[in-house]
Amino acid sequence: MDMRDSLMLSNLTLDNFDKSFKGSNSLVEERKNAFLNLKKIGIPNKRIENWKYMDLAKITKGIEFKPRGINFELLNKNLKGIVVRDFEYFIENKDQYSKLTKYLDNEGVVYLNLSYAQEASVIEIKESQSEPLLINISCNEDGVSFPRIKIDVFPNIEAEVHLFYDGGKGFINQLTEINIQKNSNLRVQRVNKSSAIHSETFLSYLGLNSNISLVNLSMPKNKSRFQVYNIFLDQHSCTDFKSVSIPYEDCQDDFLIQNLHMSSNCESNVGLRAILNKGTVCSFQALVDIDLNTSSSKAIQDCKAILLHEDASMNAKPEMKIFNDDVVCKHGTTIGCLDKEQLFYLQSRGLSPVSAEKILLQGVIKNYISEDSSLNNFLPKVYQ
Amino acid sequence: MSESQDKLSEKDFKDPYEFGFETDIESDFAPKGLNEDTVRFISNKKNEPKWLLDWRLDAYKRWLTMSEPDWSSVRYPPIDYQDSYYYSAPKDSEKLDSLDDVDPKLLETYNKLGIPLKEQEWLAGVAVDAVFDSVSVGTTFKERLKEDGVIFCSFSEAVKDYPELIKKYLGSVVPTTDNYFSTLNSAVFSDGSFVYIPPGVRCPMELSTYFRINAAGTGQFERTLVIADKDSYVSYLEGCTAPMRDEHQLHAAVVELVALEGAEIKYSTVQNWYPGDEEGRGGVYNFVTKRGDCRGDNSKISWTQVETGSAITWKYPSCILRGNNSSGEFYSIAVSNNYQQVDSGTKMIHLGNNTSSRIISKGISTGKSSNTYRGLVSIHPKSRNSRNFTQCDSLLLNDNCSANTIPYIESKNSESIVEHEATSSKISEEQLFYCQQRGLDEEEAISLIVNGFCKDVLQKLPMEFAVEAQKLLSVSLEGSVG
Amino acid sequence: MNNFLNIQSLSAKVEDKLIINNLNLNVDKGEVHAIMGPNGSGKSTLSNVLAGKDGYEITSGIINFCGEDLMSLKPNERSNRGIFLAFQYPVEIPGVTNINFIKTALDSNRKHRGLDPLKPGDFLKLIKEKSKILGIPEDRLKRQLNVGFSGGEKKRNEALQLLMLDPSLAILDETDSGLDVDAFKIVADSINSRRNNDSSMLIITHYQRLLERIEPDFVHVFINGSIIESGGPELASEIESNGYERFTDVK
Repeated sequence: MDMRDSLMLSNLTLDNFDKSFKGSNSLVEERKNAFLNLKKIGIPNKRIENWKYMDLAKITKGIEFKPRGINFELLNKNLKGIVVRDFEYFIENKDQYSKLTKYLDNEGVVYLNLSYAQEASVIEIKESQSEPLLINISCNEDGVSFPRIKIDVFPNIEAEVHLFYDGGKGFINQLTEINIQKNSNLRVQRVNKSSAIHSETFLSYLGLNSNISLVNLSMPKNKSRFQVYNIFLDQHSCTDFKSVSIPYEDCQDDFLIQNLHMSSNCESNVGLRAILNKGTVCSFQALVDIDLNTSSSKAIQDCKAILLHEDASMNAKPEMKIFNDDVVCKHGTTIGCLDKEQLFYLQSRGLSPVSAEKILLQGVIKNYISEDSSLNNFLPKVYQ
Repeated sequence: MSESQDKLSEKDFKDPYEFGFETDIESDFAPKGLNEDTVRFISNKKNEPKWLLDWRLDAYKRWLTMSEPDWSSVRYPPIDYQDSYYYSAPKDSEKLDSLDDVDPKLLETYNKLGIPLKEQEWLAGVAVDAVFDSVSVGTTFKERLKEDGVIFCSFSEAVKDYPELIKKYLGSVVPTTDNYFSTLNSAVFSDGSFVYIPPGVRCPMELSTYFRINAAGTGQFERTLVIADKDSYVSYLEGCTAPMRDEHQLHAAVVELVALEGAEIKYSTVQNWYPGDEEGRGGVYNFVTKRGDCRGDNSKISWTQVETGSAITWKYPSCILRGNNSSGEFYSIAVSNNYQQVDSGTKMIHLGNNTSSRIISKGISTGKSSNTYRGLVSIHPKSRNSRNFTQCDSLLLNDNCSANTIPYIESKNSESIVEHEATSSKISEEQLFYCQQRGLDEEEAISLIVNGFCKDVLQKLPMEFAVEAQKLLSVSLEGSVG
Repeated sequence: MNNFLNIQSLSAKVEDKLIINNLNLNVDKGEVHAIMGPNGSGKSTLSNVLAGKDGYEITSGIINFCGEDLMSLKPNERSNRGIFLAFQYPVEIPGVTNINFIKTALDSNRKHRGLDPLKPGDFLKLIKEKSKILGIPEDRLKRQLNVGFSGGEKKRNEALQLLMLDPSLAILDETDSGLDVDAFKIVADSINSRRNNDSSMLIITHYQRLLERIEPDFVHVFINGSIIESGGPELASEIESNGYERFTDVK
């Protein structure tokens, strides 16, 4: 790796890396391996295809490499059928620590997390839940942090999880693993209002006849990367990932969403609605990968971006890799301004240009965030 | 109903590659291998001026510092650039004054390909430049075209007769530094076609180049340059075939189009280089750089391609929409069978205001082939009110092939609109059954459905090519049933 | 026993579910048979099995057509031998023009009979004539096959293909559904007018309506995959007034 690319790693060697963890826990081997891989491939930069629209190495360059704590907060208390653990879990279950990497291409941010992670929230959901689990993540000190979330949904469960990222400084490199066992259904809401540089790798493993749906409201106040790998371990599972991206001025929102159809009869659905203001950049890289030995796969990708300011830009790369003929895959992308005909129509009915625009933008969002969704509370007032 | 829509005969299905014959003709070769002397040899053979030799040598030096691109999905063993001939010409070809002097064996070859070079035998309204290995062997209808001021000749002749035009435009769309293969071409290109349409002229006939690789172990590096001056129009057709050979043949061409203010260029290709056999032996490696520059306002460039040949296809005919109100089009059918690998698509670079582009791509894969669409639509910050529409469909005919779609869409202007749609699916069982119920056998049914799938592109081809293209589609799909 | 269409003890499954259960049926030359049954009785499966569609497992029985074992033939080979299925839901085939498709199909069937393709002029004359009978405007011939056709337009187009290909056995699968009153009359009458001693029809229908205009020689009540009662046209009238209750109760 090129040391000039990344100041934060330049003064680290395996030697002093070793020292920093000596005795602190029993995961030294796992960390060492991850660190060696990290040294080899480095922090992702734009020369890596999947990171071509966000040069993480460059934007984290000035950040002081000072690992610091992060606030994990499970707001619900005394839920039935839920077991919550912290990092101790990985110390006791070493095999779980870096189990996931086999499904990922050499991914620098994952190795980075595995090298340094010291905080975790591990949640086992053993009974169906009537109310959503609420998880807050924030940090106020300067520096970098490497939180991990692991959610294990037992068989035949219905549950909902709300993730909320707020405030923060420096760089947060998060790793989220969701394991959904057979016949279970997990709904996830994600709100990102983080003001740190936030990179989250989100992996979901789907068992037989399982389901994960995610509604993501992304309003980063800095640069955000949300990368998702959905791994279909068994048949008849479905994923549905919908994101609404409204970055703050001059902020960047970067998505990579991969659906790896390794089993038959699975269905994936990916969508993005982006509303882009001054100085914002949004990128949407989606991949549907249909494995050779599967059949009856279905996949849809759908991306719509509205550029509201001349200094806003949108990149989309909706990719389909298909190694089997028994598929139905569709993709649609539209990038542009608001429809002038529609604006005119509304104005001819007496609406001001501002409120006509507002109504149309609300329409774009309402596609994904319904009237009764609690996500409405997080939307900027104009879109509520 | 036109004849072109008629069904094909049995014969068409049974002949896997009907252009696979070889012409036994004496050839003049450059010594095998590539070095500075090879470049000098070629330039010398063509009596080129010093500036062009220097241009080639610059490119050669540049090439030495470059490495083969590895970002595409095509895979092939390393190419030994020293194990190929870079110049091969039928002997005596340099002395020709008129087509009547062409070696009868050559005329016979082109007749077999369905391209009679004797003008009276050729379809009225199509002028042909025939390129055999490294040189142009004859251009038809030159005199008729001259009446309108249209220049249509081999590249070598153009260097001699129109040095100012060549000097001004050569490399102005695809610079010598552009990419590994185009840079190699710049160093060793041997011949090709040159077209200039003067201001206000609508070229009275279709112009056509037929490329033929004949000699064994020969790379073909032709260069085509088409300039449409203000308010002119030209439709240009390009066809390619090669003999069946067990070894791979390298083809690295460069095509540059320049459309000045108000001009329109329509460029159609039916590419049927030898695709290799059912085991993946032999076949042409086709690494081609094609780019059009809509340099003037209100100009238009349209690419239409039917790609059924080559073991490897690596080409991205592109449009640079520089002029205001300029427009670019890309219509493509890419068929891959057996072990063929296709990585093809287009780039639409929107720079001017009110520019528009349209991409229709149809990929059909069968056998053990891989078929990738790779495209870029880029709207620059200053390109206001521009539009793109892309439709990108893949059809898979069996479960051993693959189809990839990799579109890049980058928009930096809030007043422009980009729309992209893509689908991938297998051929529908319901459609097959319906056709069979009406009496068509499976191959006929597939051929009919595939032709329907490609209709939007086929109808963009000039008539003469549309017939050939439909035949090719069916021939290429032969053996795909099951 | 005849040597035209002869179905004996036919049983067929779809994904392990028995849809046709020990069916026996004889159709002789020139006869019109109606198969009537409630929704879900397996009527369409029967027409698909006769036409040779994939996805059905024939567990027992034989189908003989003009002395040949039909089961060994591909769908196109059955078509070439004169079996025509007017589909309940004709599929759309984008990019293929209607007229080109019909010409291709006709030529393919002619080829089987040792005939040359019809000359474009003769073909045009024929298709114009048949379209006129069915009230199909000429521009619809140039449109893509069934693409964007309304339900009624699709059914008329099936009837057009029937008239053009002139099969010896026409299977009409719910051809009356989707047609408005006027179109229904035109389509039914034009089909009825081609009745003769050499061609037979198998009309698969839920209602009696079509049978009023194409009077069948035999009516079969088809329930749960087999014929449970056969009779003349009067059986159809009975069903029209009393429904299928009597038969389902028996079952």
